[in-house]
Amino acid sequence: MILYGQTLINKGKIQTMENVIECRHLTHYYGDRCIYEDLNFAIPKGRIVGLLGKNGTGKTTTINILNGYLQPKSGECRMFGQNAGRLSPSVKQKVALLLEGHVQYSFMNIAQIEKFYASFYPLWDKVPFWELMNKLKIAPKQRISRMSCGQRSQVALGIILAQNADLLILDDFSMGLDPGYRRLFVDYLSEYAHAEDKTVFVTSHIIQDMERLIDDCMILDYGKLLLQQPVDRFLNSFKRYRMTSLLAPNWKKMPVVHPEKIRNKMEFYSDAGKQTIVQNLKEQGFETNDLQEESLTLEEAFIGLTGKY
Amino acid sequence: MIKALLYKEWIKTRWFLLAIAIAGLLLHIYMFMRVGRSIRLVGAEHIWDVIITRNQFLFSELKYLPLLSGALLGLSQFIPEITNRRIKLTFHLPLREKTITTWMVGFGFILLTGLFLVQFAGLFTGIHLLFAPEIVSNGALTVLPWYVAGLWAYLACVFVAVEPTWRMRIPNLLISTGLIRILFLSDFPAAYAPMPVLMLAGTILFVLFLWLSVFRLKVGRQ
Repeated sequence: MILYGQTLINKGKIQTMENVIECRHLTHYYGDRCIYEDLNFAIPKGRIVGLLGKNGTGKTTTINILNGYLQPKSGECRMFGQNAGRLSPSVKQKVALLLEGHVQYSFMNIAQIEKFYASFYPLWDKVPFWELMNKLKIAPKQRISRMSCGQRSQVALGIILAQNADLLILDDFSMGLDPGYRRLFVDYLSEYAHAEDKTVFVTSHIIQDMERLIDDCMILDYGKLLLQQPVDRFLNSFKRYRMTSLLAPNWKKMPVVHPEKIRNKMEFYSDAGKQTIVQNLKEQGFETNDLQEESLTLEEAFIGLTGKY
Repeated sequence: MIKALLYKEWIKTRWFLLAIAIAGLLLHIYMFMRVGRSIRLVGAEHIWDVIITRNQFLFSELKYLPLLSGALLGLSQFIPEITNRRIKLTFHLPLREKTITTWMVGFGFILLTGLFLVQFAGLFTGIHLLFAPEIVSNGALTVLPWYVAGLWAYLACVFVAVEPTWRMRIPNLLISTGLIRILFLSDFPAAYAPMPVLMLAGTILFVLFLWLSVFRLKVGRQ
């Protein structure tokens, strides 16, 4: 597999681009359970990067480490050049954070929360905040605790946009949102980030939404980072193959992941290209006349790479 | 920024502060009406006799009011912060975590102390009008540990609430209860008069404890 070689990281060395986030040799355990070992990645300026992974692979752990809410067992994360565990107020001003579940100060109403946050951010721009609030037709004195999950997500989004931060970190933004609000959130954020050249680091368990939003994807599996690369490059190279055969080839000799054989139908994934697959199969004496190569959505590619289980 | 931080604390606590203030006011009115009625019914001499020879304190209804006030203020301020781990948002504000914690706890502590001073002043103005200065000073020493217990209860709520794990919250709660219990061991008037150092030391201990909880939260203890 060449997936690993295509990432921005090569044996722990991160390419020297202008990186907003850099994590080096990150290792974390909860008790005896390894979340990941020697994780290395970087988020370049101006990119929208999605961190994908199944439940329990360490997405929120990574966000917590980045924001200084968790000390990794070893390794280091830096944001804007500063150690994530000791961010200065000036760096915190550059980072807008969305917590899992769109948590906000629900004891405030929207006028109060706008007034509250405006004091902390010198570049605060209330226009996008009120624009979103007007779309929702929420009264300025309505308390956030009395809003629906979708409405709360728009309040959280409005706050993030108004901060005018250089880096936006969003932890599972799609949690609890119905499809309409998810689409609204993604479209608004995508347009804003591209127009204003913002860097976005986002996690979500709904990968369909990510495909509309992100430039680069990082895929975490249990204990390690499987890849980090632009989504279009990943989807152009990583394909699903199907063929029929009574016997299965020696998968270990082939550059494939998660091969499955049910009766005489075989299915596997690879980024090696059809020619290489055909050559490999022929070397093992298989006919390849009915070999089909299929392009994938990001969700299908994610499942193909990480497996169904 | 500090003004905005205090604004947030005010929004969380204002109705609770009002409730604490009204409860204190009503209790003081009730206590003075009751003592005034007793003086009218049985005579001032008898009341003086009860206070001096039988060592009774006539305002013992006050005993748990500061404790409940401190706990209520602490909970109203910090339960919203720990619910859904909202405190992460607070610590993400562009201020040092130490600054944020100091101002948040300082807000509650100073407001509570202010409220207690007003109650204390009201109580002793009233006692001063009815009784001799010796009884006034004796009364002050009797209620002092109750008010200190109120401040400890406030700090204990922060200590327990900010602690990130339930495994540690329970021992924290037990330690806090044990320490606060010390201030309620004796009902004898002015029993705690020789112990101001203990009260000061306990207050400092609770402040150190709450910083321990803040540190554990910050490093993500789970």
